[in-house]
Amino acid sequence: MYASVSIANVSKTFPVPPVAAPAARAAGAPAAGSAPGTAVAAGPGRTPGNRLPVDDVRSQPDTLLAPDSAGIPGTRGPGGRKRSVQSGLEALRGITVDIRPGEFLSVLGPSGCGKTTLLRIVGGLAEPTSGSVRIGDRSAAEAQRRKLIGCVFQEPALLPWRTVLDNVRLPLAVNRRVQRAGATPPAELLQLVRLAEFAGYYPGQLSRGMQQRVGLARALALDPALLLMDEPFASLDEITREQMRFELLRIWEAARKTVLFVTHSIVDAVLLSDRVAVLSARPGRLRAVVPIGLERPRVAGVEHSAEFTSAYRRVHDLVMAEAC
Amino acid sequence: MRAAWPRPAAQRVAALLPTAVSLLVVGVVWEAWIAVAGTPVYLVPAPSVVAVRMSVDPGYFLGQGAITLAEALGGFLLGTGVALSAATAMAHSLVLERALLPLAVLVKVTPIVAVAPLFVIWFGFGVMPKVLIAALITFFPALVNGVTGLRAVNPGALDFLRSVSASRREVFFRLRVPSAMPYLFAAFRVSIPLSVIGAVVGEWFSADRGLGAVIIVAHANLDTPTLFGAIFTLAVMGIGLSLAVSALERRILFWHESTFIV
Ligand SMILES: Nc1ncnc2c1ncn2[C@@H]1O[C@H](COP(=O)(O)OP(=O)(O)O)[C@@H](O)[C@H]1O
Ligand SMILES: [Mg+2]
Repeated sequence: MYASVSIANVSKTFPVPPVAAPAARAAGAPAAGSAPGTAVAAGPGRTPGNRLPVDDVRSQPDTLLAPDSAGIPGTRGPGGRKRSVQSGLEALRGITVDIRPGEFLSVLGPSGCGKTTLLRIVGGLAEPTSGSVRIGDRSAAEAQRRKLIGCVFQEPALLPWRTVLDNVRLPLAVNRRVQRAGATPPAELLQLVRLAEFAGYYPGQLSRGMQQRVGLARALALDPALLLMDEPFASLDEITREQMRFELLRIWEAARKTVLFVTHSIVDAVLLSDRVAVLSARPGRLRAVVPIGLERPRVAGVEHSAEFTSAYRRVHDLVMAEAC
Repeated sequence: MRAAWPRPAAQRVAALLPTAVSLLVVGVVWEAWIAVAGTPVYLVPAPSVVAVRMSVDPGYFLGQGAITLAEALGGFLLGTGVALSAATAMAHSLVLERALLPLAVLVKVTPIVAVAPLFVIWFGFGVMPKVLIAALITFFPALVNGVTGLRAVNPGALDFLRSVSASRREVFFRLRVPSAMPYLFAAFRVSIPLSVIGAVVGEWFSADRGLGAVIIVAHANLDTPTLFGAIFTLAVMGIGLSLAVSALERRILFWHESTFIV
């Protein structure tokens, strides 16, 4: 079962706290949630009440976001009222893209353009300032509650006190009320990522690339309808990275999912994706969605083909035109 | 097929060898120095004299030591328990942290010897004031490290747990508590010897039982061999407790990064 994903006009502006009172942000903006240690107040099950219907969002004037007054509290919005909340750091502006069921879509953009922010919004881990996300016919928060989403992050973020196998079991152990029928057993997932003989090891005993594969198996444990990957290869060396690309392709062929893959690597994007969504530098805006016509299954060697080179060049030129 | 930890026993014994040698050297030098300088026994007894005093009446030192140990451990458990409950609340609420931390700091900066007599007035001459003083002295390290540790979670792991709709409770027990363990053990290594100090100080002010009382009485009689016997017993107790904490730490923190560095 794959989900389609509809990202409609999603924008995100982070409230930038007054410099003198950094603690105030920790207390006041738990939904931002990514600052370590301050996310305590943001439990799951937050109300999605501040999500606006798309049409309402479109009717809001852009100036509300006050992009040029970043960090300056007390900017005046329409009507002369002080709108300090609206000023801030604009990370994403009006992202609209649909992902088809079973599609592998990459989001490509320079560092700091809001890729992680977009991924967290789609995963129900952060709220958009405006716009909406639908996963199948559900909101992101609802999809998350039903365990329909698997996440892989840039850091493996395994629990070091659990064995490899127990890490892969973790999603099943958590929140048992929601069970996913037909999910692949954790031991088989370890076979899929070629780590079967390391089931009893602890994460600290594995290489980075192996940890990242455990992370992938863990994300697949619930047989998610949507797989979110945030630069999963970014912290790997070039050789491991190249191997991991083809590993991922192989795994994806075996367990087809709708994938939203975030990367700043053009090779990653072109090699893996059905389509590549190119984002501009901050605030991230959608510049183009490029279909990649390379045949599947894609195996080692495809990166030397003429088709790859031309697709690479097309995406490369788009990205670079945007960067300058 | 796992890596071989905890380390093999033989290796751990070998690791203790340098310590044993250095202790032996100190003992020998001390003994020789007393013999050469002819220091009177009421000033500093030779190790052999202390050893004789202790072997004549080992039950005495063991019995008094057991009392002090029980008070120290009771205080440690009480202080740590209260501290960790407070830390749990404070780690979840900035308001609570702001409200409670100044109080905790106030407790911390107050010298324990200054409040000990007061505790005797309030709680009498029984075990109670000693346990409370030991609890007071162990409270702060556990509190501060508890709050820090419960917040020191890997943000990626937190995101992942939330992404599979873990409840707050599950996040607490599956992520926050284990993440806090290295911090807690750092606190325990400090607070376990402190708890013995707390118990002894308590016994000074209502001296009838325990090694603190032994010290006060021996001091009044210029009975330095007994006094040194009590000191030695306390030192052994401190070492034993610290070793116990380390052993527990090795068992519980087997997964910590430092374990994998050979
Ligand atoms: N919790 C947050 N609070 C404030 N600003 C944030 C937060 N998270 C991200 N940002 C800002 O949003 C922008 C986009 O960040 P991010 O989505 O992590 O970019 P990317 O993943 O593309 O590198 C950055 O400028 C970053 O500083
Ligand atoms: Mg990122």
